[in-house]
Amino acid sequence: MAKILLADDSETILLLLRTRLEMEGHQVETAADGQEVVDRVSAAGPPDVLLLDAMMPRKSGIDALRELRAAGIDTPALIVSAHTDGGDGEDHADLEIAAYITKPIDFDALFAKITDLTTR
Amino acid sequence: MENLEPAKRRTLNPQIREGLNRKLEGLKRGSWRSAAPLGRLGRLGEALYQAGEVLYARVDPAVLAGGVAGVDTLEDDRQLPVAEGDEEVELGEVAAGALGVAVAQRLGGREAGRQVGGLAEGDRLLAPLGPVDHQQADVGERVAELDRVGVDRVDVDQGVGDALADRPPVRLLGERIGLGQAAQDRTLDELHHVEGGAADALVLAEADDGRHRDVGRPERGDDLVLARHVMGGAEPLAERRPAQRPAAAGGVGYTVGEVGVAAGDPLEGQRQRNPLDSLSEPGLDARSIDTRRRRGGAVGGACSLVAHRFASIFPNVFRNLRPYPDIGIQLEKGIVHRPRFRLSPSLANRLTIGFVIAFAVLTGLAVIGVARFLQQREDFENATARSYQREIEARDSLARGQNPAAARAAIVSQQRRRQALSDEISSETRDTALLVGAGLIAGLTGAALLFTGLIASMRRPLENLVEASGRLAGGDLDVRVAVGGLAETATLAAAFNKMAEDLQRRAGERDQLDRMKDEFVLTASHELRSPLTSVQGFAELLLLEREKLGPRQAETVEVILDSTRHLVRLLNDLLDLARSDAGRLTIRPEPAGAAGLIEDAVRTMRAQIDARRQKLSLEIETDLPQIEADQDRVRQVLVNLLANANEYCPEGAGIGVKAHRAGADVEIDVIDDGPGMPEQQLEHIFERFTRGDAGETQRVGGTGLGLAISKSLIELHGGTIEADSTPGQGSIFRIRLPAIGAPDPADTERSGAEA
Repeated sequence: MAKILLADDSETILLLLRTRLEMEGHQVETAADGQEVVDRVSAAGPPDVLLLDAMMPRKSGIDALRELRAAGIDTPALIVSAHTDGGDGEDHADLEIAAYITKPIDFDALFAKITDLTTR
Repeated sequence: MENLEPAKRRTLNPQIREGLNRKLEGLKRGSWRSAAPLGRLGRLGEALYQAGEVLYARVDPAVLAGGVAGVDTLEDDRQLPVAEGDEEVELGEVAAGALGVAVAQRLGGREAGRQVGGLAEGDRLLAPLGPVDHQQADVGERVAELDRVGVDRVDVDQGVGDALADRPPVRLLGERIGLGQAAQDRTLDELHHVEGGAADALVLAEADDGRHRDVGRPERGDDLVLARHVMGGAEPLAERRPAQRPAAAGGVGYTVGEVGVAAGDPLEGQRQRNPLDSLSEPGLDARSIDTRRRRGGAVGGACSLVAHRFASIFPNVFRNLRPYPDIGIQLEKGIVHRPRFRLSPSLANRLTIGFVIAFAVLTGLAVIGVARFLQQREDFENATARSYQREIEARDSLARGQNPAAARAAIVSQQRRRQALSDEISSETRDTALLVGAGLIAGLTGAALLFTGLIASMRRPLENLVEASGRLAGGDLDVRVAVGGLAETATLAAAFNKMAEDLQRRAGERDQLDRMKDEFVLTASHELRSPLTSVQGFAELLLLEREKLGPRQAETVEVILDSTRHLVRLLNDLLDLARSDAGRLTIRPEPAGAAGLIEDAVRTMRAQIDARRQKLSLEIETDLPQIEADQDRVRQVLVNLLANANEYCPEGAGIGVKAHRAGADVEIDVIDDGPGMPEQQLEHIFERFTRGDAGETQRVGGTGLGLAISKSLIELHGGTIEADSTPGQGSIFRIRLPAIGAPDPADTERSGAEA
């Protein structure tokens, strides 16, 4: 079981991800944009895994992650993206992104990845 | 002005509007010449109107009847007193606006295709409205109103430096000059203005002949021909005849031409056919002009300074107008000016001229030579005969014994004389032959030089054209050729340039459309992903609790899932294709072993192949070199080929994958013993949306894009993919990818692996 902070601007996607992750026994918190992610982490400390949508209004997942990394938070992060190649064409090597999760989401692969990240 | 309608608002393409506004600004500043052609605007009147500067005024045919009256009275040869130095100014305003009316009518004509061109009730004239300032001389300001119809003033920017620039405007706003009324109470000045413009306009027509002038007014030495527009029973108004001025000595004069009304014109029955009134000074040579040739400039110009200016700013528009006959005007006499030949006769003419000259020279030489030869011969024979005569006489007297010594001397002398004559004729004949020969050689040389010159003058433009055509065919759409030289090559070159321009424009439009399409597909496939994620995710969620669903519900959810997966695949394929088209499909190659990739692909497809009880065999050569490959992409291609084999082959069919070295490449073959494909299908197998025949595609759920994408991907790797098939026996797809060189160490242990 892992503590997962989940961010997506689409409520349906949030609901879907949350339901599936909770069915797997994870503890899920949600945020609607990158700014909320940053606020939550600074208020309540980092979760075990960050699962962030790449593109969100106000602050994108990438930007939020960049801020967190700059603040010294090295929580493993997964970026959800609509692109098949995982984003804007840049690899963001400095952000230590564990994996890009492309839409539509392959949940088995996602769960395997989370298990992998939290049992290491 | 009761018949002026308020401006109707219509939307205008913003680009055109902007262009028009710029040009109208230029017009106001007098810098109209600097305004570049705007291009084809279609109907000028409308466009100008939309720029907010122009109103349409309603016109009645009666206006024309009145408008024409002024010109109709030119039989009166009265000369206007022209003050020294005032000449040019007056000339600018003098001529009647008849043509102006007619062309304005054409400008405002609602239907572009109007054939007869006569004014019909309800036609509109163009008249820009606006303040008059001192920069705006009021030329042609009223082509006014007989009864109830009028055209508002036409203010024309004369531009700085214009002869009329300092002239105070004639302010007639709000008034009317009744052309049908007696106009004696009008000042001559006004009348000049009223009639003004046609002279300028006609001069503008000359611009077509390469004589462009800034203000378009006549120059000393010009001979103008004024067309008379004869319609209706116009009453002569003697006072309105400013156009009747003949040329001052060595100066400018007018000839009045007739304007006919085309058959079928509503006004046809009313026209008058007056003979031309020549007001020119003796010696002024009026010639016919080719109206068709002149139409570009003349139509543009012949409608008073307003139209003249418009024509200057919108030359293309006017060039697209129909020839005179279509608008009911026929210039029977045209502008006559000092001949300025443009030396560009056609090749045919040059050849004819050259041939005639050569022929004349040779014929002349032959005639002279033969005549001279005959003359010499005759002289010789006469002299010889005389000599014989004298010798006979001498022998006679010798026989009779008269003065024998003298007779003998005479005989000898005559014999010598004949010898001398004979020598002389020989040398003269030789001289004549030499002369004629030399003449022939000179003539032939001249002709040869002439023709060589002609050929040379054609060669360069033709060579340029040939070269430019080659470049155009090769895709260089910027290529243009110089226009000039012989009429034929100049025409060719102009046509070529136009064609290249059209091609370039169309290519630009097409490229833009392609880009828009690519962008659209990229955006759409991106935007579709989120909703698809929800649909697929929630359907999966439902299936996780399958036990709570009824059997039919579970089946329904599975159908939703299947369809979603199909949609996702289609989306991925479309995205790949769009990227490929946009040149944005990229691969990230790294050294990889073919065996590993094949095994991965087989693993992905294993369940489906087993489900159809198909037999799969692998045959992978040992020591295969590594390939430089984007592993995901090559795997995608292999899975696609295996999926095709799986879907199109019947149950129990055999599918094989072989990999071996082929020269510098690694070849991977995907083979099946399925139904195969006929040749005509094989040809198109790598094109988009090509699938098996209709029956098959119902069953098989592919997108029809897989092979097209596979081809793009393999080609991105620098490889090739091809297909071969025999109907009834099976198909083979061959992929060749360049090998790196070193053998893949992992391959050695996987030799001949059986599936």
